[in-house]
Amino acid sequence: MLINKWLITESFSEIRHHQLPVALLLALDKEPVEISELYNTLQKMPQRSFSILLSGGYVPPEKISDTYVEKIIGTFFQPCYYLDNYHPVLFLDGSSLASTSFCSRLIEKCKMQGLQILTLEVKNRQGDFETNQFAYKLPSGYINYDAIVKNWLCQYLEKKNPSEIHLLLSETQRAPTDIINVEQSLAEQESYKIANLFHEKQKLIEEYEHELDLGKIAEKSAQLYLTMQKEQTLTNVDWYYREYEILPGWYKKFGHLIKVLTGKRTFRSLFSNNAKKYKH
Amino acid sequence: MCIGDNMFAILIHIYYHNSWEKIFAEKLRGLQQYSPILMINLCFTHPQNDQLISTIKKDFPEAFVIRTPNKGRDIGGKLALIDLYIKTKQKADYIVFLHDKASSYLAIGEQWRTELFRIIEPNKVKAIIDQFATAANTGIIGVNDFIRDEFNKKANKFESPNNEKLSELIAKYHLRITDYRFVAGTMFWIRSSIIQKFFSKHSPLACREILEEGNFTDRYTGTFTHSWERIFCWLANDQGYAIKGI
Repeated sequence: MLINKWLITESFSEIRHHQLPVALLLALDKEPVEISELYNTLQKMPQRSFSILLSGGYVPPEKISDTYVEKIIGTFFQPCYYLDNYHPVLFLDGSSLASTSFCSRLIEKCKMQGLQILTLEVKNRQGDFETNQFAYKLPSGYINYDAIVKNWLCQYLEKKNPSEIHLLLSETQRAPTDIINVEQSLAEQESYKIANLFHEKQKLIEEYEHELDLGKIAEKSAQLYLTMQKEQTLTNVDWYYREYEILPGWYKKFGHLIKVLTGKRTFRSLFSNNAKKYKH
Repeated sequence: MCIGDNMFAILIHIYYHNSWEKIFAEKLRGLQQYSPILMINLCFTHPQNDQLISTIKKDFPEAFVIRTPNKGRDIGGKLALIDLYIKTKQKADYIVFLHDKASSYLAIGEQWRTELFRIIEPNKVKAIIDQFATAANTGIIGVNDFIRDEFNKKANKFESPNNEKLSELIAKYHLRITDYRFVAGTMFWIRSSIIQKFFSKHSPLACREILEEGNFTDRYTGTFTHSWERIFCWLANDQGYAIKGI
């Protein structure tokens, strides 16, 4: 979707009770001791969207625990974790978070698992339109959709590859009347309709590119298997030559007689190519 | 002996999207009387994952499903599932490893899989659990024809392109091995305590990091992935258990 709304929560047990997609707030310096409740909860809601919002300040490199990083990576593997073009989306609450050792370590560990994550810096001001990242956690219930959508369009037309628009809401912001009213009128706005069309087109392109990549991988595998099969065939032919073909003709003919005598070949087939050759 | 609910967990790696219906769904329905814990790993980049997850959850609502990048082939998937097994605090006595082995480069690939899957035939399950119960030193049970040994005692090396990588992993994990037999194909039953003990010291995801990405073979050069195929079985021997065949 072009515009995604997330409800921020800090509690694992609350996740299941919300109707909106949930962004779980995790602090860099506070590793959850127990993760089983979260994983078990996420397994019960495979069709819902879930993501993580990382917050907090500086954590010294020596304090970064791989167990915490792996707990987060484990959530990326969950079926409900939100993906944008097959990349898990991770929200970072704070402009300097992306450059922290923790995030670098997380991104590096993700790569080692074969994962590329999409980190989005969450903005706290609606007028902040300098980057192509569109994740907002706003202090008030007022959301200027018009400005956000128009800016997204500008970024798109300038080929800056803007991210989808994400609005991270607190419990008090989840359904104020003014948000609902504005959202309902949004569908009528020309800028939104155009942006939505561009977004859908972009998603289609990404999907086709992905299928093309998968096709290339499948072809590469098929080529590898074909090479292996050819090698195996050559080995088999070589084995046949050394074990059988190399024998003198009279010996081979005598062998066929033995086959007839032991019931492994029909007598008639010695004289006719049309006769049934093998009894079984 | 009485076989209780959740006595064993089945950890399945699925690479091919049609494997669920083609290979697993019916076989697993045949095991429902045992109420096993089901944990399934899918390939991260498959476009139809959502539909497949819905189908799996419809058939087995209690099943755990994850999706991971194609790293380490089935071994990488199994390590990710072990991580999930441990982190969700499952308490089964035994773990069964399965995957949709295709061995597309071999004419008899499917035949191999059929043979390997004999370990989950309903009439074999009870016999296997009985064997674990009566022989305390049995750590792993797999199909007899697939139990291999590549170790050349005279040369003190493995007759495999994976020789160097195997030696590296044995040293890294301080494994003391007296029996180098392993179940080729990595489909077998194992006491869960063996898995719990090793992976409480070595994180499964950290073990997964060194595995190779994509589709590959150990036909020409050794790989960590194919080495781990052997290491899995040696974890049992390192802890004093033996491999048995059926």
